[in-house]
Amino acid sequence: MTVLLSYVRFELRLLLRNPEQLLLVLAIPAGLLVFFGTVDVLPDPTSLPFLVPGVLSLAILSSTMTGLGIATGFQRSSLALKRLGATPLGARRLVLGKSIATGTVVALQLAVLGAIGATLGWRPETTGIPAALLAASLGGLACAGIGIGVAGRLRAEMTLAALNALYLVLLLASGFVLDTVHLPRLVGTVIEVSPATAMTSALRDALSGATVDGRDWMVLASWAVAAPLLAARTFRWDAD
Amino acid sequence: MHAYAVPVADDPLDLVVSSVRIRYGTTVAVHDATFRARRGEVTAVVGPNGAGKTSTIEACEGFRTVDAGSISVLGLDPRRDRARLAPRTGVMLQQGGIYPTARVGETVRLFCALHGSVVDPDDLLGRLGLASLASRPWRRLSGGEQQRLSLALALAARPDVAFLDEPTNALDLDARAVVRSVVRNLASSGAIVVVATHELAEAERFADSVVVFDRGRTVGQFGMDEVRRGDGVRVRLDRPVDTSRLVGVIGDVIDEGNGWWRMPARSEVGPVVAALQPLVATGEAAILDVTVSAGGLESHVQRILGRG
Repeated sequence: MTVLLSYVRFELRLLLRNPEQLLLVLAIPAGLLVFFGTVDVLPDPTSLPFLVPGVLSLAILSSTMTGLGIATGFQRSSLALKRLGATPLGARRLVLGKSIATGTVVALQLAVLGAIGATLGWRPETTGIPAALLAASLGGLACAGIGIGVAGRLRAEMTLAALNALYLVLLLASGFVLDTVHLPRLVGTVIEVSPATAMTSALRDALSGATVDGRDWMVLASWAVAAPLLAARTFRWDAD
Repeated sequence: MHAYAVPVADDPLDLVVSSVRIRYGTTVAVHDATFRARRGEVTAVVGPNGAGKTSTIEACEGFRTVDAGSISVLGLDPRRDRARLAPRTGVMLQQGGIYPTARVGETVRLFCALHGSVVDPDDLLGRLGLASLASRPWRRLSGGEQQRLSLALALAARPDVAFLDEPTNALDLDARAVVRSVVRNLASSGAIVVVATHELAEAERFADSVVVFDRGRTVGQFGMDEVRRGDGVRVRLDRPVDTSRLVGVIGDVIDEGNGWWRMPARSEVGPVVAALQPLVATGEAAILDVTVSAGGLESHVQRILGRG
């Protein structure tokens, strides 16, 4: 337990000290929330029940896929993961430690962004919070699987480029702040089976008191199982 | 069967590498590696780039599986018993191995904690001359400072077995002296210390035993006392021979591997060649080369590699 706690503390210190990470996981989602929550520049629906869950979903994507993936890529290329794997920490506690550290950052994000949303006037349906937490957990797991899957195979620089590109595409296309009904039909169909879109949709439904669509649960559960499993099977601890 | 004499010892807690073969896909990185690293000694692993040193050491560390042969570390299998060996093992990678943004102090403290806090991190920082750099991130350290931090992390375990890859690389003279002293002290504490290095002059100063790799095979292992004693006439024969009957004529005959035999009691070529004539005349062996030793590890290794 001491070993795991020492590692979690170390990971969290590094995460919270990194300005690029903070920009990605907190400043961008908070900026989007404040901007779109106060300036009426988008067509409907841009109300807070639409906007806040979308930004929460974006924040989870930032931490779990982009932040975790890029950091893991650079840790792998610097052989830091390989070196840690040779200590009593071992691979399992290393993964668990990273999960706890990332989960802590996500909880912090949700608290800060939820507070900003509340300040702007957002009032979520409290009965939907358990479903929202489940959707956030499944979505986070799926996105982490994608991030680590990319980081476990590509060079760090390629991981950086690929995950940032994917982040940008999903930011624009996954319904975080723009409704997916505006997308071309084929693109919309593909994007709807992405975990980011399903997570956003599930959070919106749950936090507005509606029943979460069964298809969203199915998409989230499938990604949450498949992405981490595939990442675990293909991950290389060494640099290429 | 190897072309050199593997040191024999009874201690089951030594590091013993026996006929190891390692493949990456269709490429064979190590064809046949055999050597022993004793407790309380520094064993230098030398040889050209791509000779199989790193792959073999990584297998000893538990990072790689072997396709044939076996490895025993402290009586345990490095792969199967990795969880039991990890707390007792110190590893220094040749490069990197540390989060680029992590600071010196927090990294040493983490590794000490991971190894059960058997070593005081502040003491370790002081011993490696890193105390004044405690708040500096890894990526802002010089090459020599990074080397010393990597070595500090290997010592955080207070290891029973340590694998150090190029520990004196990029170090200035003062830092080399510190590292030599740390490596010697580690062996003195009873640990098995395996050092992969290209710096033969350094190895000559801290090693007790030397293993030579070439083209995926171990081609020799010898004690440094042999090198230090090292002078004598060396003869290279085209095949193994029974040297017992020569001993009475020309004194000790030492198998140095790769066909080389050394007669430390002799300093002139003539009597040695004369003593070998009966073997040549009966076709039991042919003399390929004869040298009078200049001594020193480098010339010793070059001879074993067939480049002397």
